[in-house]
Amino acid sequence: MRKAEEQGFREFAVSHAASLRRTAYLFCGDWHMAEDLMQASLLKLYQAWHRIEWRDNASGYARKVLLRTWLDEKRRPWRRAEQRDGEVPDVADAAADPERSGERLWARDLVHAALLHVPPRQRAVLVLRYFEDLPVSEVAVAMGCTEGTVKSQTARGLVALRAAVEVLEQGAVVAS
Amino acid sequence: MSEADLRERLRAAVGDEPPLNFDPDDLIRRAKHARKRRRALVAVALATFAITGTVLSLPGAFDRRQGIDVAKEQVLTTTASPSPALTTQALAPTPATSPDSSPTSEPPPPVIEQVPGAPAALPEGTTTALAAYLTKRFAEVVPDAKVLTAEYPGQNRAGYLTVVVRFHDGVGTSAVEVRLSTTPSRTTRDQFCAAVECAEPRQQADGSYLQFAVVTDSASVAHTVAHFRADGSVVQVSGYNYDPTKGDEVRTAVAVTVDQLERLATDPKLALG
Repeated sequence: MRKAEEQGFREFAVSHAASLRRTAYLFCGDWHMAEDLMQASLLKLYQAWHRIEWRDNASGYARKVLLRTWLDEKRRPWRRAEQRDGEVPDVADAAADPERSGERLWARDLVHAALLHVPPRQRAVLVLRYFEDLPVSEVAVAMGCTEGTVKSQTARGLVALRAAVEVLEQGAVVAS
Repeated sequence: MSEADLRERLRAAVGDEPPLNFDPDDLIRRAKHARKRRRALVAVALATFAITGTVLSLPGAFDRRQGIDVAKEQVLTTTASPSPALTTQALAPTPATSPDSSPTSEPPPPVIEQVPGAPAALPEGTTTALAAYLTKRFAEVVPDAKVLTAEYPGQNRAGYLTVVVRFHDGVGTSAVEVRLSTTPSRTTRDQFCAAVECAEPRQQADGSYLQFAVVTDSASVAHTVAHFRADGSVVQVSGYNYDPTKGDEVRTAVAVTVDQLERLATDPKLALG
């Protein structure tokens, strides 16, 4: 890769690393795995950078690579979800605002519990549409499916998410 | 929960994002290492594939180019195999009147180009059918003779067959030997003439060649007519002035004429294919 291309990739990676990791976190619900997914996606992107640099939408391509990387990771037979049965140490959060703690905890539960109960592809559609604010056409490109499929997956994902939230609001213990 | 609520909650969910320690230089270094490793892996795979292909294909290529000249090998012999009768009575290539003479009046020994991997035997029924046809054809070509036996002694292998027709005429018994060879056991003209002294070949209208050879030794004489056909097959027909299956009496001339040998050799129905 030439110096100019490498510099272009470096700038792209620096500017998009954080947003890619946030999206990955909403996909998988774990910051560590989100960081791994982001790094793996950028590595793949580097290999293909000479092909996509001058194309219209490098961020869309990066999003697509991230989604594929996560779905591939989920499909691996040796991958198992972590079973958390230990006690989490109760430490003070200096940055926490007591007045907003309830709201933040609810939001965290929403991701960790409700969203994780939505099937992977429906979850991806919800994240891309409502977190990334992408139009249906771009989500279809990232997912590699038709716009009609995106709409149907969105509707089903919302139904599944609302059902999970209802369970959460009723006070049921939802394993994360 | 409305769609607006969902948007808000998703943004709130990433509010406690841990600090990002992202080093683009480290990432690029790892990417370069991965690329180098992948290229090395591809190169090794290609080299392995090429070496394996070469090792597997070269012996086959050499084998196809160079047939094994069995006549030049010490391990195998290519002389005519004796008939069942000969095995018991001992082939007597020289007549009894000259017992000390060597059997050089045998027809030119075939030089067989044997290709490895060829089928080991002729198709079922080929030998029987050819022996039967030869019996009938010989009676037409040599009307004065009465065919006693038509046997195919020796090895039955792909592309090569010997039929010995033993007959009785007004003088006594004798035999003609008919050798048919084709790919992969074909005899070439050079190989034929390397063993005997050949007369000038005669080219036929269809592009085939007739080669004539006379082998004499002491009192024994053998005439051979070889027809090198356009399709690559060869028919050699040999006649003798004695009975090669017994060798007990010598005639003044070969029992069949060269013309009769030629008619047999050029018979298109005498073929292995």
